[in-house]
Amino acid sequence: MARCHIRNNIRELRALADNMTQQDLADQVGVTRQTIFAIEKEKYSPSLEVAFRIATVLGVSLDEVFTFEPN
Amino acid sequence: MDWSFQEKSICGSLVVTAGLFSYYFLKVFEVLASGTSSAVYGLPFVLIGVIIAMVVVEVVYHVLIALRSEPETEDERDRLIEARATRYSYFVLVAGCVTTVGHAMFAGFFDAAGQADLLHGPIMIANFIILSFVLAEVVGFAMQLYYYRRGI
Repeated sequence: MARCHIRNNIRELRALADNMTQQDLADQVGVTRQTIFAIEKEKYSPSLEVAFRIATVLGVSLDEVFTFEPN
Repeated sequence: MDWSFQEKSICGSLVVTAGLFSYYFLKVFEVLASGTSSAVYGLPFVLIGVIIAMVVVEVVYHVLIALRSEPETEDERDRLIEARATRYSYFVLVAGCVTTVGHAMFAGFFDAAGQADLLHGPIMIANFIILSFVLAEVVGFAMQLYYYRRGI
């Protein structure tokens, strides 16, 4: 339950985006900083809408942010 | 990772609810242990005092944590955690209500200690239901904290 099968590289992409902070990303996406933290730690899988918003804010496509690893 | 406003709120509510109602149900147990039917009539006043104390403590606590926290709105993760935790609360509440109904209807058949009048009075039945509500709330709060810490 604590670990999901969707991997992401949001932390790296934030660094490439002029060292965007989690708070900045959260504000632009419309979620809390703790939610961004949980997504980066793979403790929460965001909804499709939030996933698209994250990719849009970071200026990349969805599959550059998230990858699915089946069992 | 520091705690969000939601986590602090839930933790505080859990402690306050569990603490104050532990005191209340200790009083209920004392009444049951005394075996005096008339003693139950003091319980509603204890309950009112506990509820007032709970409201005051919760308001003060939430004002304090709001002053010390950044402004936050509830997002999809908060709503999902609340919804998942509510399922467990519901199960506990249903179990408590079913137990209370069973007790009200059938406990007299097994009343070897002769305490049917004490245990079957409306105040005691109400207390069993209140206990169900409190346990459901505590389980709900605990599950929310679990999901916030461990992930969902």
